Amino acid sequence: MPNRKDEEPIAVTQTLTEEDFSAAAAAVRYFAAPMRRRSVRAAACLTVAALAASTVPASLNFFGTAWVSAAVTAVAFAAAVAVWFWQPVRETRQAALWFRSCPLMALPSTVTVFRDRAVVESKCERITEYWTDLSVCVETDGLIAAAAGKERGLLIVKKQGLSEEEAARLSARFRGAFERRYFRFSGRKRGNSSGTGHG
Amino acid sequence: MEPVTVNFAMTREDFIASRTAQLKLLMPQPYRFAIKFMGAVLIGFAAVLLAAGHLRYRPAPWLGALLAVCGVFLFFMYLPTVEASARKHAANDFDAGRCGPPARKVCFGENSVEIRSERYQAEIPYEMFYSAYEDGSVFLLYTGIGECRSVPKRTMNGEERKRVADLLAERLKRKFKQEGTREWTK
Repeated sequence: MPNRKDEEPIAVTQTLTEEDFSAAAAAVRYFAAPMRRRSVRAAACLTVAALAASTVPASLNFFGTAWVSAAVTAVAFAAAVAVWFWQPVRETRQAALWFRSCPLMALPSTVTVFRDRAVVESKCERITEYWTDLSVCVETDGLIAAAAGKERGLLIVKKQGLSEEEAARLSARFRGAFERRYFRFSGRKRGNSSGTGHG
Repeated sequence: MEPVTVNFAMTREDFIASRTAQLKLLMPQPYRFAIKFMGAVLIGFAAVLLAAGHLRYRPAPWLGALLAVCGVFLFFMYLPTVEASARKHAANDFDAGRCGPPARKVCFGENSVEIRSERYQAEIPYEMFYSAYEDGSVFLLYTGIGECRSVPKRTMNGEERKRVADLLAERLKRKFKQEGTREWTK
């Protein structure tokens, strides 16, 4: 028999910051667009570098020079290094720019999570997002983020300030609603200890 | 000033016009000029290469032909292709139901804009808008990068359109852009 408490809406009062938004955007991007991860892109560049380097003996044999192969190898390797270090900086900056462009996101708000939808209310707006319209949900240590709604690109619910029981109920509700579209992003991912999703 | 209130249901054509307007905002006149200029430069290079091939020696006729094709594409076809692609995607999104609830009410007041639909109710002061844009078919109201609400102009008469445009120009100042208007004349 379903527990009545499981049916009750969960209300969370929050004020989003730029850091929250950047963390949520990075976490969602990690699972929503896996081919755009810096590890994937860097690996692709390194593969190109390896393939180009493998053509050096053949170039020397047939053309007497290997400058084209060497140039492609160098450029591909530099691209891999650039992607690895520069992509997280660029993504963080873009998320910050996105957040700063919309003062409505920074207003204190109440997010009420129902079984089939979430309602975000602030002094200026009231937004209803249904789970069926959201493509992916990612939970980190500090928040739960879902993308991409019809009214706003990211739905973010902060777990800060919630009791353990409330946080567990919230997590269970999202897990049940999103099922296979739900991902848990822990801070222990390789290469990043803050759980910001740049792997 | 009396508020301008419009009630409408977003049609397929409205949605396509809205996406086209968003594209025009992303591709302002200087950008379009630059594309055409690059096309003209490539055509010029191609002509020089082909002429040099005939007059002196033959460097690579295929290179001249390739530059000519790229130049012709950039000069004549790139912008219409991008616009046609945007319209096609907008039509597909509308048919797939990705445009959101069609019925909307928008009220342009003295100090704020009120927007009502099934899933979105808001009263937003003008200073909180990121930008606004007007072309021949729609008004676009941006609450942030990538967050856009559109109001088709067919829902207003001539006087209402002028009042809304004047109100947006007065309240948003440089954040309000109109199609064809140069930035430095505003």
